[in-house]
Amino acid sequence: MILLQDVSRRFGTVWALRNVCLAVEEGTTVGLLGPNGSGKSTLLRVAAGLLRPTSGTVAIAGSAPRERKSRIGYLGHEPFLYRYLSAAENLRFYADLYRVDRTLIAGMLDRVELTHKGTALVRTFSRGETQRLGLARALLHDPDFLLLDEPFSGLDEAGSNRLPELIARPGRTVVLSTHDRSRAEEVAHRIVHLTGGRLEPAAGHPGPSEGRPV
Amino acid sequence: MRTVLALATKDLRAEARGKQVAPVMVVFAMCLVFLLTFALPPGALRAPVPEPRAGTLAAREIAGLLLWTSIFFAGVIGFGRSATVDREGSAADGLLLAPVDPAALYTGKMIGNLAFLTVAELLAIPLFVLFANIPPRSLLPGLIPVVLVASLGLAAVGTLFGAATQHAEARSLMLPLLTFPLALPVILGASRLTSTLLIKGEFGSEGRWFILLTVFDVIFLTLGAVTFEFVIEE
Repeated sequence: MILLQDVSRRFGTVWALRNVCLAVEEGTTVGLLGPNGSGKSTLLRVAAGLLRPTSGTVAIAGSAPRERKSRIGYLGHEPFLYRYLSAAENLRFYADLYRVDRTLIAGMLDRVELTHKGTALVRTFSRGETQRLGLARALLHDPDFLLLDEPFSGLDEAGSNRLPELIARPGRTVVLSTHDRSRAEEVAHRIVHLTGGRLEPAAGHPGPSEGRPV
Repeated sequence: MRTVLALATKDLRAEARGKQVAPVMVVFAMCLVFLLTFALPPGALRAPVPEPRAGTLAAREIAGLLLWTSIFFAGVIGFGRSATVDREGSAADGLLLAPVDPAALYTGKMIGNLAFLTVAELLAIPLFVLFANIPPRSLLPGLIPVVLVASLGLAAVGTLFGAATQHAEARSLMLPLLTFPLALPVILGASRLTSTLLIKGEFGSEGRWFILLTVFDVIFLTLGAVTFEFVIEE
């Protein structure tokens, strides 16, 4: 389970998140909707352990995110890739960091349809190809918890259509943010809405239980 | 060890393709060495050691400082560029997310920086010997341990502060400002040892500077390993 309890995050004088409570049950997918600047990226970065909350707590499978690093996959606005390494070299590097068998790399490149680009430097990739490789990086260690910030961004129609199949796995808990409500509804079991750093259930979707986080 | 190797190899491989760090360091170091050695009186360092001619002593006293100041500033430029490579594409966040001991992250990055600095030194020091007309055999064998211990110290400080200043607005200004005062013991120690070699042909009692340099290395390597996670965090 991913559990955020009363999480707030401030940048200088600006509150990006205010008292956010969110519980994502194991094996479910939550879609995070909200306008620009509503705090979606901050929420996902806090959940991944990339940012410390100003107040409140985050738990991934009962522990702080930093203690669950090997079980978390994260794709942000940036792909976390090295421009002067090839696609395969980038994945090999991350395979070494996550202690993943390097023989899985070819299969992962195939899953994101980049086999033909395996030896090409990332700096030569298009936006969509970079996004797909970033996704491969996030999925390489087969994480139980997947946090995706605008994963459809940069993907063409075919790539966007393949994304749900790529990220789906029994038992995997996913939180993904998007502007595209129809895409979110296609993938997510539940949708929540973030506005001005505050979380609320989206209309027409399961709401918060009495006394429990959204 | 796999992580340390992966990090160091990644930096070296990316540098071999992108050539973003080492060439800048090499060119800067060579320019500085060229300029500074020409500030010395002609032939001042040429006389055979350990018996310098009258009037050459002052030149030999400052020659070590000229060399190590050049190496330090070349290093600072390289350490900044090297940290920028991790900032591009927010790759540093990818390192933070990975289940890796922060000490391994720091060590891998430091080894990469040490390799870049060594490349700059391998070109700058022979150039210094050439331009200053120093008999190579009188300086180079003794200089090797100085280069090893001083380069490690510079890379240790540079890696830590290269990463620390990446989130600052004026990072290209902040890095030398923060690094220079902290690296002073290394610059002074290495300068003293180099100048002593030029004057006496041996370290003699000045060899005690090695103790200072070694202690400095141990302190900053430990500090870097312990604090690197917090330093690269946004």
